[in-house]
This record gives sequence, structure tokens and C-alpha cells, in this order.
Amino acid sequence: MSAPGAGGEFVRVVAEVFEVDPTEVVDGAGPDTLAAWTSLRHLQLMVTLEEAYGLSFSYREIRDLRSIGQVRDVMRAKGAKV
Amino acid sequence: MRDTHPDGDLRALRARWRQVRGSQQAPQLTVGVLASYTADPLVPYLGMALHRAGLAASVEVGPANQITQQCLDDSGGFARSRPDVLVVAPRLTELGPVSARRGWVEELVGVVEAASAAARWWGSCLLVVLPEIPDRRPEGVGDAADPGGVVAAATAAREAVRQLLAGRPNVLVADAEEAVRRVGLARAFHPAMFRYARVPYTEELYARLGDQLGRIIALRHARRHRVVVLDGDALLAVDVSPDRTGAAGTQALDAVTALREPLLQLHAAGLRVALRGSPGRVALGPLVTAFPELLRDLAPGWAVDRRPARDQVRALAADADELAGAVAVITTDPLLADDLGSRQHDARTVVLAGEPEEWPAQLLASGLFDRLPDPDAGDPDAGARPLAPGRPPPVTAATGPAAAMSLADYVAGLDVRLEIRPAPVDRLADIAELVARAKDFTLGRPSDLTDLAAGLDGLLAVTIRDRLADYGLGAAVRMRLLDGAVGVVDLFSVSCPVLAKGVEAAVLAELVGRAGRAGCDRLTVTARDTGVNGSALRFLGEAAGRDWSAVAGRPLRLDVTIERG
Repeated sequence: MSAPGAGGEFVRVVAEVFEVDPTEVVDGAGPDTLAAWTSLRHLQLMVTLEEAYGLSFSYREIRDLRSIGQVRDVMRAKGAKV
Repeated sequence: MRDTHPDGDLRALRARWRQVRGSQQAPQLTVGVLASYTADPLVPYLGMALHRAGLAASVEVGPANQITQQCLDDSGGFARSRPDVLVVAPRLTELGPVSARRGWVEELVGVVEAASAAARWWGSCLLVVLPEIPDRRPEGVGDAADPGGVVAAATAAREAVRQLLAGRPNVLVADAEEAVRRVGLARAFHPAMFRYARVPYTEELYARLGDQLGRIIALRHARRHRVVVLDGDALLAVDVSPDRTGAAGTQALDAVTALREPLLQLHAAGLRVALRGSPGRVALGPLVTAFPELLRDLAPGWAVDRRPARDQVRALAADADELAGAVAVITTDPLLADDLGSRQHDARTVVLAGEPEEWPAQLLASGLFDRLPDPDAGDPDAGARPLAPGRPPPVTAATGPAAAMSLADYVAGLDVRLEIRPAPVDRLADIAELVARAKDFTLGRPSDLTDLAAGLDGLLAVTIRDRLADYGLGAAVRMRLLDGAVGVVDLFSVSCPVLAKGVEAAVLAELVGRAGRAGCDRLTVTARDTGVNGSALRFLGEAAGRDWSAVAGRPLRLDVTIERG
């Protein structure tokens, strides 16, 4: 498990999962704006963030997180620096 | 050849797989995976294990929880692509709830027999993954004393399949329980992901299982290592700095002590053991003293000179009439892998880390010891055992799987029960979620909670169960009546776990009946091609070509419009 300490690492992780340029990882981005945000990639994003930040998402969080901004908010509430 | 291993950073391993997949040429091997759960997370770990074994492979995952249906369907995806290796991975809890565990043996044997018949028909090597023992224990610790308990029932099912497959040609067996044991129960399962998308395992478990599957496939399809070269420079280096007791050479002695048993096992298994190193750097005494059994190997397998490591390894391989790709070099020096090369026909490097007492376990995990069981060494009756009662006999390649059991027979035997009722207001959120996530079977027309609430009239919720499970809410459909003569279907979504069970046909028949009873003579369905809802479009296309009758034989026309783009 790495110990990311800044939002830059969060952006890098998300961009890696979606295989997009980091500039596309903005708070308003979601399944409707990022073509790569498919159901499978959504699962990969949740799993990768769990691994990278040592946290876990609940069923409702996995189900309801539909934008980068929402993901950030939930992760910050769990103490992650993103 | 050195590569990322599941013991390491899984993110890095997945990233490496993306690189490998992107750069590899036409695959040597095609692998198809059918599981009762979402198996997509297996792909990078399975793919990397095959890559480490020198196999360029493509891995495709079939629809979740449709193992038997896919195996019996002559028009299914794998029936068309006929993968070289068919991996079948059922979980017991998808073959019946824990409360019905007495049926696990027959259900599991049935799935495996269907897969076995399909694999023979398709010319595929079959790899069956024995399911893990479910972690639910209704009796708590009392399960241990119950011959009909969860552990006992799961064990009986697992052993029935193991015995059934033993000795069968072109059949391999893996074990999900082994992966659970390696990871540990507390870190094996992901309940939130399972509830969300039928992803039962943690990434760590998928990594272990994928690695195991890749190693097993490699035993059948990859080049075997036939020569093990000890890197004397790293493992048997002359220890010039005395330890606290003033004794020199303890480092090499520790290494020899740790490696003795594993090397003797490899030697007994027929691998030649050789040594490379540089003059003056290798402490030969401990090796020669501790391994008299290996002297026969070491006499020709000896390259302690000033040549580069790569040339030494090639020469040692040639001495054994092998190519460098048949060589595994054991070292503690991670840089040696760079010297030896990283192409698929280069020698493989096994880099040991930590203290010598940890090395035997690392060697075991490296796969060097992997062997398929000797078919003559087991139970002489294996492979000739009777099938579970009530199951059809295995088919021959000449008859095909359909001769054993048809897809229609299987679906009929599932005893699927539907309840189709007007959607309750308090379940609208659940219906909206189902509609949002039903990607495979949907009309492709956006419909959110607001839309559903505004169009409650004609909205039907479908709950589904069969003899294997109670799936709860599994489909939603909406039909509006237009001028009392036309039924307009603008929502028809079926969730993935209940697909391939005849649900969609039963729902459509219900709609036809309702439209007819309402006096309609026409039913219209408009769908949009989303790129992933092909199963819905095919179903509707076939349905539109049929003759329908509603009430008392009165014909009803079904019009289907597919919007492309």
C-alpha cells in the first residue's frame, strides 16, 4: 500500500484506471462525461482506491459514487488526503 | 525473464498486464473463463502468470452465472470462439443456498459434466476450479461436528468432482480453497462488491487464483524448465567478513542448508542442477559436501569462469541439450535478471529475498516445483466412476453436448418462478437502480427515478427465483396503452444474474397477454442499440418474427424498432 499524500496522486491513480490523461480527471467528470467510466472500470476504480489508500467502500458508496468530486468527498470523509 | 508477481504490488501488476496486452502479438493461446460470479478481475493476474510462463495469451470472460447455459448453447460466445482452454469456476453458494447444501454434490457435478462435454466438443482443454468452502456456518462452531454441515457438504461436492475428473484426458483442476488459504479468510472476500456486482473476492484473492490458474495452464501448454542454475556469485559467495564468532563462510553454508531439500526435490523430479559463478567468488566446499547426490549433475553443469552470466547460462543449457528458455536461474541478485534478458526465450530468473530460511517457501511459490499428477499413481478406478444420480452420461465428441442435455431442458429444470406485479412506490429506487445497471438486456432508453415516478402507470416489477436461488427483483418493464388498441413498451430491463433463464421470454409473454386482455391488437417495442445490449436486440428481433396470439387465439402483432447510432 502506498501512502499518497496529495491530490496529485489521486488524479494519477484515477487516470491510470481509466487510461485517460490526468487533465480529464476533474471533479465534474463522471460516467456521462468520461467514456472510459464503464461498469467494469467503476469496479476497478473502487478497488484500486481501496488498495492505494487502505480504506474500504460500502455497498451504498460503491453504488452511489458517480463523479470524481463525489469520490473525493467520500474519501476525504474517511481521512484520505485527496 | 523477470516479472511482477502476485506477492508484490497488485496495481503495478495490473499496469504491467496492460502493457503486455498492448504489446503482445497474436496470442499463442486463447483462454475462456466461465464463472458463477464476476470473473473479470482475474484477467490481469491470469494473463501475467501465463506471460511469466512464456505464453502469449488472450483471456476472455463469459457472462457471469451462466456456466451451464453457455456450455449447452451451440450459438454461445465460446461455442463460436472455441478457446484453447476453457476455465470453469463455479461457487457452491451459487448452486444453492447453504440451507440446501445437500444438493451441492449433484449441482456441482452437473455443471462440471456440462462443461466437460462442451470442452470435448469444442476441442478445448478444460480447467475446473474446485469451489472454496463457503464461509457461512449456520451452526457456528457446531458445524465441525455435523456430517451434514457446511464444511462436510462442501467437501463432499469438491471431492466428488475431483474424483470424477481424475485421469480424464485434457482436463486440469485448480482449487479456489487453496487461494483462500493463501490469502487468509479475513482478506479473501468483499461483501460490498459482491452485493454490488457479484464480485465475491478481494483483489488479493483474484491475484492468487489467477496466478494458480496460469501456473496450471502453463504445466500443460508452456515449455517446462529442465535445468536449474544456481547463481554461485550471489548464493554461495565467499564470505570474507567473519561473523561475531570469527567464523568465515557462514553465508554460503546457510544458503546450502536452506536450498538442500528443495534442490534435491527438483533433482528427484528430473531437473538437472547446474552452477554458474566467477572464479574466486564462489564457496564450493559447502555445496560439494552437502550435495553428493548432485555431483553427477554438477560435473557437466559447471560454469565457474569469466564469461558473462548470459553466456554461461546458454552453455549450461546447451550441455543439457536444452535452450536457454528451459533454464531457471536461482539467485538473490535482482540485477542478474537484467543481464540474462527479459525476452520469452531467455532464461527465467527466480530472485530469492530475505533470510535463507524463507527461501524454500519462495521457491515453492515460484512454480518451479509445479507438476501435474501422475495419472497412473492415483486411484485406479478414477475416471470410471458413475455420475451423480439422474445425470445424463458424458457425451462423445461425435454427439456433442446438446445430445446429453439441451439448453431448453436445462432451463426448464431450473424451475424458474416469476411474480409480475405493479411496481410498488416504495420500490421505485430499487427499480431505478436495476434499470441503470442492466446493460446487457435493456431497451437502451434512459429512465431515471424521476421518469419512473412520473410514469408509474403500467410499470411492472418482476421478482424471480429458481431452484438455485432467490434473486428478488430481477426485471422491470413498462407498457402503456395507446388509444386502447396499441400497447407501447418503453422500458424492458433484465438484470444480469437472471439472464439466460427464460425470464425475458416469460415477461414478454405476460405483456402480450396483458395487451390482449386490454383489447390491443398490436404491441410496439422501440430499442436503441447501445453497443452492449445485443442480447436484448437479438431477443426482440427473434420475437418480432413470431406469430403471437393474445386472448382466445386472437392474433397480436409485435412491432420491434431498433434505432442504430
